[in-house]
Amino acid sequence: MDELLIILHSTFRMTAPIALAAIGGVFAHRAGVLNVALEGMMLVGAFTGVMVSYLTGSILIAVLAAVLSSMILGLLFSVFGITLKGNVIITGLAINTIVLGLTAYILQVFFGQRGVFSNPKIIGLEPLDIPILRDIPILSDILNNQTPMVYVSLLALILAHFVLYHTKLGLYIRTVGEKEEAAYSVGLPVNKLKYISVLIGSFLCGLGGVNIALENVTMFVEDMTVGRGFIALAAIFSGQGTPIGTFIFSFLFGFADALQIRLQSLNIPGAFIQMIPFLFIVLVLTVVGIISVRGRTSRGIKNE
Amino acid sequence: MVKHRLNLFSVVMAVILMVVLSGCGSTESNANEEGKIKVAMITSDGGLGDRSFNDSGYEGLKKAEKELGIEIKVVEPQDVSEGEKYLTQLAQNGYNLVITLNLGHEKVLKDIATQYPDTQFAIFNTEVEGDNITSVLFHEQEGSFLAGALAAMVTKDEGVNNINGDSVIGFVGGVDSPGINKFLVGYKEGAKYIDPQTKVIVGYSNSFADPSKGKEIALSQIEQKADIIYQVAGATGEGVMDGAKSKNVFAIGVDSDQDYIAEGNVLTSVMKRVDIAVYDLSKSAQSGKYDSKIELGLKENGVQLSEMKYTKDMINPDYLSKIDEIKEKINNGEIKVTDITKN
Repeated sequence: MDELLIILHSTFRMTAPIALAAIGGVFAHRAGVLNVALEGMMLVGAFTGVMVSYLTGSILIAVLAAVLSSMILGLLFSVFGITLKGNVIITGLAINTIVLGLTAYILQVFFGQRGVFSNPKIIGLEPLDIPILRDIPILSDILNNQTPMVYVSLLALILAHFVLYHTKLGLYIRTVGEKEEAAYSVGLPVNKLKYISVLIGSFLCGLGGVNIALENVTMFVEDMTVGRGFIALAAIFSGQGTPIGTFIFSFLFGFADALQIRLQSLNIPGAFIQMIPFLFIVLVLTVVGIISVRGRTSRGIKNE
Repeated sequence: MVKHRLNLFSVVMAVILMVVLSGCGSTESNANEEGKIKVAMITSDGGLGDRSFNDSGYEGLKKAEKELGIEIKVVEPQDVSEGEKYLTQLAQNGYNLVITLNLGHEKVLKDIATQYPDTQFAIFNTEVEGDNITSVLFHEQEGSFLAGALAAMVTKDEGVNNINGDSVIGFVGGVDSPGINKFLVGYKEGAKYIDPQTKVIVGYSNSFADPSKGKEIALSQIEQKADIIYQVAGATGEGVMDGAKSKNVFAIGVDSDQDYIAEGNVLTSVMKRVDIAVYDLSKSAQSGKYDSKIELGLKENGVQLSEMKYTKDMINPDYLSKIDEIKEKINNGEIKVTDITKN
């Protein structure tokens, strides 16, 4: 039981960056824009956060700068992908590549560092001990003493669900994604809505970057997001573009990884254990697939 | 008319001057290219800035540039598959010695070396046969043996940092491969040499650039009573050291002296003197005489523990004399450390 609680505690830590990027990405996904630049947006957030924290010593300014840098990339992505109607996949990949190179370049030229940048002057975000949560038996073991962005990721889930399904903005965004021509014909500002969707995503990606570089550790390492942006993308698709589904899948990815780390210390062949996250995902997707197919036929609707 | 002539004259003079000057320039640089020994180094995964393997090699190369007056170049491939391209280009560009730190280049190196017989090649951590190839091998297992022995002694010392009395130590590797497990096996053997009951918890991060995962693995191992964790995982290892620092236990650094990264929380570092090897190779480039194989172990000081600047005074001095004793035994063959990369 204790073991499970520890794994769950660690799961939330490992889920946070993926969930933040994924929930952010849901908006663009629902607006019909495939944003593969989540990875780059997170990485730039991580980088800017660390650099600004180092230079100013203020975590608040660092977080703001991280979010801002990520949103600038979001704007760049939107200008090329939406206004100029470039191919969004190529635009997104270009952004990922640029960020990877640029962060390494700036690190080298202006800070004289290669690969890793860590310094005692970098101020990070510490885990929070929350008064009421502290006293709730099981929940406190899982959710208390987490870093701020973990709570932000949960908050983001609730807000995203609310915005998408209970506000006009959410309705418009979904309309644009479902039938762009129809949205256009009733006078919706299609491009503007797409811009907003992408920018919400980059905002949350910036926070995801902060989680990776200023909470879990306080340092920057080249390419330190190591594909989490793409895992987030997978979570969006697996969760069928709903905030709740997306979060659940982000959580599953995080859980599988935390479990895998925990199991490694048992004497089971390492290669087998490292397969678990992937095996797990294939399994879950299969089950979800089967259930949804059954659901369709038994109700006799949506038969294509 | 006079004015006109003067103009013409100045133009002619200018042209002559330019020709002469550029001529001077070109002959000078030619002499430079012919006369100077040129050594190139291709980095391994992670490139420069790993505060570890590649940086250590670069140190040696810079020293060679300064002291031997050779011309140097460092190439950082993005990907192991680019090795062929760079090896060929460097050989074509007349480098006398091309060193690759990436053992992933072993297959392509063999072909390229036969194509460019006038260029000397060197590869690290693996053995490649060829008339113009030098293989540099480190006995990492020997250094790891010492680290394991030290860890097994210190892990019982309650009161030093947050050490618990349990004989449990940890290991975090980048990937589950022979190159990494070579360290692990030495580490385990060293620990068992001190106390056969020592338990070694092993974890792999599957990435050399994921510090947050490294930290997560370290925390998980610390949770299971490991209080000294040896990391062989590149930048992922930075997270391991960060984790050890946050719980005030020990990490063990690798490849270069990493003790300063978390002062007082890095027990020691197993240093691989890539710098010495690169410097020696550059020296051979000057004389033109190369060995086909260089093996560097404890005896050659190619592998050694760091000086333990921050931790020396925290632990019992008897341990260090015990380590010296073990080192002696390894050097004279009394203790045999398994090298899993050899059968």
